[in-house]
Amino acid sequence: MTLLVGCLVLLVVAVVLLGLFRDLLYSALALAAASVLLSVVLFQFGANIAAVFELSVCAGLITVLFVSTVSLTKDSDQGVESRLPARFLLPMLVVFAAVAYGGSHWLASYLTAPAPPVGAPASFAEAFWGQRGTDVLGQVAIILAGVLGVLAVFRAKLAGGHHD
Amino acid sequence: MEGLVGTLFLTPLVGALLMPWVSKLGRRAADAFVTLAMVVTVVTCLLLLPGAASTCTFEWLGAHVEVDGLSLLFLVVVNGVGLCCAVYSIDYIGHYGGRAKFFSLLLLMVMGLNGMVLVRDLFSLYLFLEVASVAAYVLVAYNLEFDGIEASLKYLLLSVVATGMVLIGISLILATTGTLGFAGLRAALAGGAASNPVLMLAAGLFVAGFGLKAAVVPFHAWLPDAHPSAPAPISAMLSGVVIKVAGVYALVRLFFGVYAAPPHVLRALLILGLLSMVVGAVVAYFQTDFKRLLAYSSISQIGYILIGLGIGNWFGIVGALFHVLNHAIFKSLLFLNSGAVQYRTGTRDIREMGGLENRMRVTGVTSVFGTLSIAGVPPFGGFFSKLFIILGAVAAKQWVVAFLTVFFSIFTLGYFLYLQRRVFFGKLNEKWNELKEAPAAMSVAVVVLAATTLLVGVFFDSVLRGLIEPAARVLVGGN
Repeated sequence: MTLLVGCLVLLVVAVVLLGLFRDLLYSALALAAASVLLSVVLFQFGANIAAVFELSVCAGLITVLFVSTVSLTKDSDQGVESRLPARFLLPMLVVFAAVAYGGSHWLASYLTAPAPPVGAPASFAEAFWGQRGTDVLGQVAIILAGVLGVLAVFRAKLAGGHHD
Repeated sequence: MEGLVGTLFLTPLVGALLMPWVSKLGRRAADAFVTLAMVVTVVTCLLLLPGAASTCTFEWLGAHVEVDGLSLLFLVVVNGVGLCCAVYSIDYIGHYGGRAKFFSLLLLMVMGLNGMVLVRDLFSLYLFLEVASVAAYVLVAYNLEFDGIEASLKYLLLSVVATGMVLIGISLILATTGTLGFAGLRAALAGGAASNPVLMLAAGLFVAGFGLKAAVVPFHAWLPDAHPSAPAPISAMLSGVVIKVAGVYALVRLFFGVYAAPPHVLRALLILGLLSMVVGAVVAYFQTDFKRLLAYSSISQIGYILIGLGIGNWFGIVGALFHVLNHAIFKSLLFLNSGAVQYRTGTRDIREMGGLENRMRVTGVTSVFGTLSIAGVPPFGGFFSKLFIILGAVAAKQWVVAFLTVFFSIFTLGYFLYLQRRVFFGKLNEKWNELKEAPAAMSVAVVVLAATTLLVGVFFDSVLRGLIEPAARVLVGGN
């Protein structure tokens, strides 16, 4: 329980830092840290397959994609961007905590019995291809769209400033 | 059947994967390849069409997949408009560059929309919504100009809010019922949805989330920037297809298929529809940007669809679904026309235009077809769908709704005639003396869409029986 609460608190901190960092590289690393912490939370809940997926795809592959993109844009001018003043941070965290606390208590009053099990898969392969094969196809399409998006947005830069 | 459905998932995905290599064979190879991929998906839809009246359910790669009349209607819309946009892009996309990437992203958008329409699981629906959305964010910014990138960011940020709400709604449903499959949910919610505050909160989040995707007022802020800034074929896809599948289809499938059309949700859809119809039309009237006017008009036309659904009787639902088809055709046509005008003149400001029909006859004539259909003039398709919506309102004794629907149809005719006069008719602006008609592929696409909007109206009875009524029966039957 202590590990779970600790991970959840650190998860919130990582996500808040993600939005506060001015350097996109640090934001990408904060996102990776958040994904690792979420994986631990998922392990704690016994959702092992989801945890492995979160760790490998979100903390691994997505971080690589983000870091690659950031390295492509590193020489861009990032000094003009605006950001939320730091004085808003504490009130935002208080509001978030209040909503999370109130919301979870309100929900708990309606979820008196544990939700029925969704059906545990026999193995990772069974979960991956047998039960959610179409979703895996969708994930592949999202990642492909992301990669193509990066290449499309930076196509002029990659082609040395010339369109095809 | 499984093979045909697999084709709708895999053809665009494999096409998108192979496109970078195929494009190395030359521009023509890339053009032929994207056209072939879209022709395959259209033919697949046509092969599925005879089974529109029945429902076919099966497992495909572990997912619960279902083909029924409602799926088929949206599949026809997605792939039909997708094919026209792909053909149009052959000549249009040249000046943007990155042809292979553009076609790949277009195919991925089609794949995501096909997936949304076919799956019967809330999480899979969300996942394929994201596939289409990620492709759409990039395509909106494809011109790499400031307005395109700004519009794309706005679209992205608001869409993240929308999908966040949808995801929270999905979590609440899973926590309450323990299932996300539509069939299981229907059974779990039967009779008890209205009394469970958690499920109604989830319903509210779905209305807001998918309403934002459908650009319904007051969740429409992203659309008037995103649609004008995108390349014309993407504006056509967004306005003609994406807002309908990502918004209207998802709402319909959830609230008619899963929640069994609770009266207060129908009332909410009716109010949102009326707001969208009125606000979209009034704001469109004041626009001087060709594509922005069309974008606001899309908000107004989505309003008609929601009004038909909100009325909830047979005429209303048939009218709403028929308007989904008609709006996809005539709004895609009008956006492609605006793209042809911008392609040749380099401007979207209608005050700088005038008399273009003298130089761009195909674009001018086809845009008249689109205008007459959107304004609800017989015998074009738009007339019959609006007629059914009005009949639905009258049958439900919703006199104010019926009056407003008629009034804003006339209002729509008014601002579209003004648009026609300022852009295509009147005296030719001298600076356009040397103007030429749009390139062949662009003209072919608009001619096909213009002919389709006329034929759908002339043969409306066959279209109703073959495509619209089977879809409406799914909603009335709650399947």
